[in-house]
Amino acid sequence: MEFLLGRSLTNNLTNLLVEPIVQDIIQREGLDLLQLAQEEPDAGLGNGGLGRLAACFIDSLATMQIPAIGYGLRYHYGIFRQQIQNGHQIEHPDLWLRHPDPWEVARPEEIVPVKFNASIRLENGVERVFDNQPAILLGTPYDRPVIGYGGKTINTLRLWEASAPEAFDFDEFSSGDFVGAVHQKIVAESLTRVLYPDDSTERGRSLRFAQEYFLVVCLLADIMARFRRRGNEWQDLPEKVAIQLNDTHPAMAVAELMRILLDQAGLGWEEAWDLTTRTLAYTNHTLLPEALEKWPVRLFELMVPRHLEIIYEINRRFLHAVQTSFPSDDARTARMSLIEETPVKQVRMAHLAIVGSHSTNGVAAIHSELLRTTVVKDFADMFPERFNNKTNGVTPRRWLLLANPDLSHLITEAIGEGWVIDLAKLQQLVPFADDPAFLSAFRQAKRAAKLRFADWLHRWSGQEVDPDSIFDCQIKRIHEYKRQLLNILHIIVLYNQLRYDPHLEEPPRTFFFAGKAAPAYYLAKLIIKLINDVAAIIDADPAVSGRLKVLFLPEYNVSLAERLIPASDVSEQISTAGYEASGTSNMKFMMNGALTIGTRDGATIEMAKEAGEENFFLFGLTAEEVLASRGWYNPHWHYEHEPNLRYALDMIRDNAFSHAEHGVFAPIWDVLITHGDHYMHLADLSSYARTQEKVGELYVQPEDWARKAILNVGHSGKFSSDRTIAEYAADIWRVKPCPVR
Amino acid sequence: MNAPPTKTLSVKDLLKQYEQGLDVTFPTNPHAAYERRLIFDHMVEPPASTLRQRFEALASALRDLLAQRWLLTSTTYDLRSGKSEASVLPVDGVPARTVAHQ
Repeated sequence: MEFLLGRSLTNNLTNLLVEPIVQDIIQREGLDLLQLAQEEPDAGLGNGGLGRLAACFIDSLATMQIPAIGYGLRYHYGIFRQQIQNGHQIEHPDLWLRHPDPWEVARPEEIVPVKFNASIRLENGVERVFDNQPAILLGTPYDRPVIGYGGKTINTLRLWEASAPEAFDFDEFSSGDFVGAVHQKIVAESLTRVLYPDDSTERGRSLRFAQEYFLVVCLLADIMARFRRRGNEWQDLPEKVAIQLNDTHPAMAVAELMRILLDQAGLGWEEAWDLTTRTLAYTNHTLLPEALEKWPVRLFELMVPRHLEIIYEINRRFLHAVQTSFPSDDARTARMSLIEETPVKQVRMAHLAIVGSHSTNGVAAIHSELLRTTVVKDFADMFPERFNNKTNGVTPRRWLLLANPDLSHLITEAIGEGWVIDLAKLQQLVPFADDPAFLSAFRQAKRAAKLRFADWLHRWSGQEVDPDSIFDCQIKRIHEYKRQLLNILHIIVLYNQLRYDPHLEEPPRTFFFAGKAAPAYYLAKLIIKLINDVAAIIDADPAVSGRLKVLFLPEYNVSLAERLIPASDVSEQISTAGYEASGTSNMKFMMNGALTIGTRDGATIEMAKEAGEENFFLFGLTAEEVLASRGWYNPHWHYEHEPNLRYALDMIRDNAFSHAEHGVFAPIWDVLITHGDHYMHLADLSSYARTQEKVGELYVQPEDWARKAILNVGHSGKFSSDRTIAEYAADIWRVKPCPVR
Repeated sequence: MNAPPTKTLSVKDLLKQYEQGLDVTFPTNPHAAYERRLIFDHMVEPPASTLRQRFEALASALRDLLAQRWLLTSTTYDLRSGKSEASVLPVDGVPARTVAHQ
């Protein structure tokens, strides 16, 4: 449903292999390619890792010549544009389609009608929902090319836009009700106007629900039309079509595919169910219970009653099977039901996705294991054969070849260009870690990337950074479990140490933060405020000038990541163990030669295993220790016994960073001390600080640092999305490449 | 399963890859795609064009370049997945299962 695409121009040039040709135009016309590239909006049709993963996957699918289509919504407004004012995040709409998009092709001849069982109309100037008065919306597909590296295969990303069947009601227009006449059009178009409408209000949640249903109807109609046009029989569906549900957002596909097979194809229930479950597969992306979608039954009743009827029948049959397998276990039956019998009855979309598909996978080994053993253990007990792991990956074309020209060139010089489509070949770099000439060239490549970033930053924002300092980066969505708070707490501790011991031997450090907080997530926005206010105090303090700097880079997007990651020395992957499903920025940093400081969480565990833990800076509680200490963990103990930590927390409480806004950070104190520090920042702080000391000690040994960085690059081959897609293709989809002559 | 190997191609070979019957005339003459797009889409003399217009012209020219290859990809999938409304080429027996990633 989400695709965090970023800009396409330079990526398409790279994958088409036509950069030399275009350079001819560039020179002849006196153009600046980088300037031109910046004219393209950064297509932000996603919130974070999940959407960017989908974008990496479609790149790999095309490169590997696998017949595939990506489906999503053509949001007019992508993820909001972030501005920082007085330390606060301010959200602005991001109208990325302000100008015509030269890549896309509208396909109005392939419009799909989408039926809702309720209508929204104006009545005396007020919008009202009318139950049982069906409304039809139209889904228009817009296709974007997805170019495989080498330009042999060009797959399609198909994004759907909603519109009304009629531009306006002529009768209402003629009678003078000009607003009423165009109201249906406005309501219809609002459906795909905004990515993830704020779901803190009922209206926003309803819109999100309608978006999910709209996408599912459009894409299944599209898939079935293509499937039938090719002359296939319904019984061939699982052999010819594989549908991967990227999280639960499109989970309504289970009910919609059943509806098509029952009501349109006229198949019996058993056959329809067999075909549905063998066609669909589901990827889970989160261990956070609150992130597992549930939709009120009332919304189904209002908008899609036939789908609710089908879900009830799926549930009836499924619970009968549960009771047969686990007789007299009513608690288990209640836990596994697709319907949560709370006062407001809800449909559990993850349960629907698991029951209605033949495969459920997590996105890193630890995540898949925790999924099986904790989050949906009952389902793993019942369908053990359905559960599997597919560790995420990222495309090396965008994230290394394109983003880091100096390092890419160096790698190609050393081992040839085969790594671009077979990242496992990076293993051939390992012997170069002991080659003095290569070590020197590697350090030069890193320095060139740092200089390039510093230069861009200066031109973009006027800010100066020291390229000789450690570039330490935490760039990702702002969330408590990702623990940007742990990072800034350590920075305060380090700041105090530098202030009180001017002779302390520490290499200069520049800490970069970037990321967006969900508009309704108050505490995450307050963390952004704290980072900015700490940065301002440090910046104004001559005692640490040239030794410590903190920057919060606003408007984090794909393009910013492409600039910063190649320049980074240290990658911060410091989530509370057991909470990060996989992470993907961790992989991008690794293949660009940054060293990771991280917890044993998500794919970082597998990365450290590949490179050797001695080449990682691991610290903190493990997932097992987090679970085991949940009952007795007491942040007060750390506050009482760790003076550096206590002093840092007191500074936050006593407004050392908020002179002009007394008490603004009280909720952070409350989260960390009063309310028990759920994400265990204080438990890990001392271990984190000790590990950061080791980072500093190694950094002043540049040869040793570069050696570890090369070993990281050399062992990052597993984390190509090509490898991930190969596993999906072989294990779940059973699909082979289909080369285009 | 790895992606197929690629190699550095000459300009002539590259254009041959992208030309499937229609001349692309991409880089080298006054009627080249970039200039055509700039003038015919935007009705502007190239020296007077804005950066945005130049970006659109370049991106559109690239889309022109890849268009026939894009069509060929779709046709190939249709043909290798069974019957097709344009079943001109013989099916070569490659089992093609289409993956929809949402």
